[in-house]
Amino acid sequence: MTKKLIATFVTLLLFASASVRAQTTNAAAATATNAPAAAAPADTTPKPDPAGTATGMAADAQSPAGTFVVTAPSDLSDDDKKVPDKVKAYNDAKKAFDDYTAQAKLEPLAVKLADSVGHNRVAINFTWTLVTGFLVMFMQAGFALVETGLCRAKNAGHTMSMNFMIYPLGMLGFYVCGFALMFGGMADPNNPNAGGIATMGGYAGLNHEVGIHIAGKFFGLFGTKGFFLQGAGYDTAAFALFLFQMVFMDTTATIPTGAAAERWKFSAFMIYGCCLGMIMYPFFGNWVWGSGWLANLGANFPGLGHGHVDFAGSSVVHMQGGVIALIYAWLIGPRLGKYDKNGKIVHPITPHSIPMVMLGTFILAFGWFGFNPGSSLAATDLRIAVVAVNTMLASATGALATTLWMWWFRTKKPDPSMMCNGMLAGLVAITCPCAFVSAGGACIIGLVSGILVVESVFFFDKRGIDDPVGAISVHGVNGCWGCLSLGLFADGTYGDGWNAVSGTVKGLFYGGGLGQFWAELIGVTTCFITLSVISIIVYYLAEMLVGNRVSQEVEIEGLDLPEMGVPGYAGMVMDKQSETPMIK
Amino acid sequence: MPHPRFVGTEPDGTPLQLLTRASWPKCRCAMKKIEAIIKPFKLEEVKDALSEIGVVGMTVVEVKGFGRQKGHTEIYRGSEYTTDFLPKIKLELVVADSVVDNAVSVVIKACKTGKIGDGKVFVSGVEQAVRIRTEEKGDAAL
Repeated sequence: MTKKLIATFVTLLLFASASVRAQTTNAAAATATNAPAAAAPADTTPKPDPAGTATGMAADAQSPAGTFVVTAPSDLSDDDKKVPDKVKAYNDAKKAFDDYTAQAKLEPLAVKLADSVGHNRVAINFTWTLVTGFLVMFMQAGFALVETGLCRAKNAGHTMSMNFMIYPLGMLGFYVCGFALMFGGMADPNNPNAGGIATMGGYAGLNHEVGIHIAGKFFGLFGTKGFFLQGAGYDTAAFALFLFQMVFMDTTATIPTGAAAERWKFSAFMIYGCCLGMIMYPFFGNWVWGSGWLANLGANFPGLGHGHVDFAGSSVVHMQGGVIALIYAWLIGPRLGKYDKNGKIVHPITPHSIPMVMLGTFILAFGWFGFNPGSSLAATDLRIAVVAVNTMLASATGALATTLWMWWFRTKKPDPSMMCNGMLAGLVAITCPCAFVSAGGACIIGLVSGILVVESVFFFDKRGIDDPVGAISVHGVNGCWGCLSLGLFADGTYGDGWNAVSGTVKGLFYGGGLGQFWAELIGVTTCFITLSVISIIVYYLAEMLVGNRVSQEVEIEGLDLPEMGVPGYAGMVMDKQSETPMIK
Repeated sequence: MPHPRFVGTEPDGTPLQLLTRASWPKCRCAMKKIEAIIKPFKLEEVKDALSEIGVVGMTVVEVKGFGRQKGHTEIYRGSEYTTDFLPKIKLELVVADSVVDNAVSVVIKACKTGKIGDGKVFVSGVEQAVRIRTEEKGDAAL
């Protein structure tokens, strides 16, 4: 008891001192403000803007054609002066700049107005990012309901508590170091596709990436700016990005709680929760979204399309969660009573509340309107309408395909729990390609995912990997399919310049060749290998510290009272029919 | 009432008596308990039918059971499972002797559907009944 008190006190002290030190450095930074310079050459050291007063200037007043603000061209070196093309380009740019400066002098009001317009555009994008982030946060409730409804009533308190606690645990882990590891190098010029937070003012202070050079190409591995959201991390655009990315990370975090439910110790779960936000999620996240090496496959190797493209996270969010779920469900073992000694299912464990499951599924489908369209980080990118509709269509075809597949071809009954899994599978699969496919493509992707999830659930169930909620099949398998489907169905109407590769994103069926597909395949394979290794390590870490699985007596009694101390449904007598008889 | 048959003597000479059903100490059970296991949707009907013949008190318990009516097979995510136990309602009435036969036939008439699983009625004796509020005993407590 004393040891626990001392450990808690020391941890809090370290945490507090780190945050306090961050505050004092921020106080100094906050007093310095950027002078709005509409026409000055780019300042090479990005200054964080914690007050938000210097973010959003005339240069952000863009149309789809780009900004009208002209900056001075950088001076030519002596070598460049020998190249006539470069000299001509320099002269043209200098003339454009001079014209612009002269015009700006004639219309000072227009210059001020441009600042205001730019600021408003950035403000629209801030609002969009934050509000869609709030929608994704609401998905935590959806996951909690789905998982608890699919488990037995005697474990309701425990399952809900895991889904509840993962929100703060994951968030704090991401705050401490996850965000910095994932996005700390997004603007590091070593990364070919490096860039600031373009839609929200272009802040480029998260600019140090640790990576390796192989054969003249840079492979970014993780970032190092923005730990504890201080220093270069204390900027309003960085904060908006943090919130948005954190709710995505929490979506990953809550997936394995379903796969390991009804037999996972709460203490072991807490260890997992801390590790996920801090070290399990950010590395692959950096490689795809933090300007790391997977995103830059296309820039580094011309045969690989635009590198591993993942618009809203089929691989970064869902497949990561699904792989962790697979490892945990596999290592923790199936629930007692479900399988006999030969591995045959003798007693399926039925859900205790289908209404809860379906309500949760609708909440998730609603939150997905924040998940996918929000990933543009810009309401000014009008492709969001296409993204939203594609998301919706895939959810519908997913649900319908699963229902009919179960009803007509597999079990002759349209299982409600499977219907929900089908809708979610469609949503997971469309998450990666949603911005790059047509409505028809979205429908087909959803349809395939609806059938895939059914077969996948049967596959894992029969092999003794007990997944109470179908997390592995919905998120892991369909996350993978979603990414691969981008390599097939991307129709070339969007994505020009994605990951620093010119041209729109095109898949196999639209004349893009197999390059994009290979890049996606490399991405999902990397995800599988990396997350498997990391999950096994964290699992055994928890195994050594506290042990992962509860005892047999606790599992039979129900985890609510022994683990949580309070029954989920106090005062209600639960149906004894839901008791799982133990095999002899 | 037929008198007890003579079958021998005790050591002290008193005649032994064969204890038959008829010679049991006269049961002061002027009350009988009727337990009826019925299909749940018949509850309202049987309650109304009983109140028509003057039986107004009863206790109802939700139970599970099976007799010859088999359970059914369900399928969840591709795996089959059987539920043997079916939900039933157990009705408990304590009535005066004079009403028993009438009450039993009313219950049967109200609950019969003709299909397997209609249920069963059991009748047993009740030794004593007391109304808690007034402490009345016996028939007056019913």
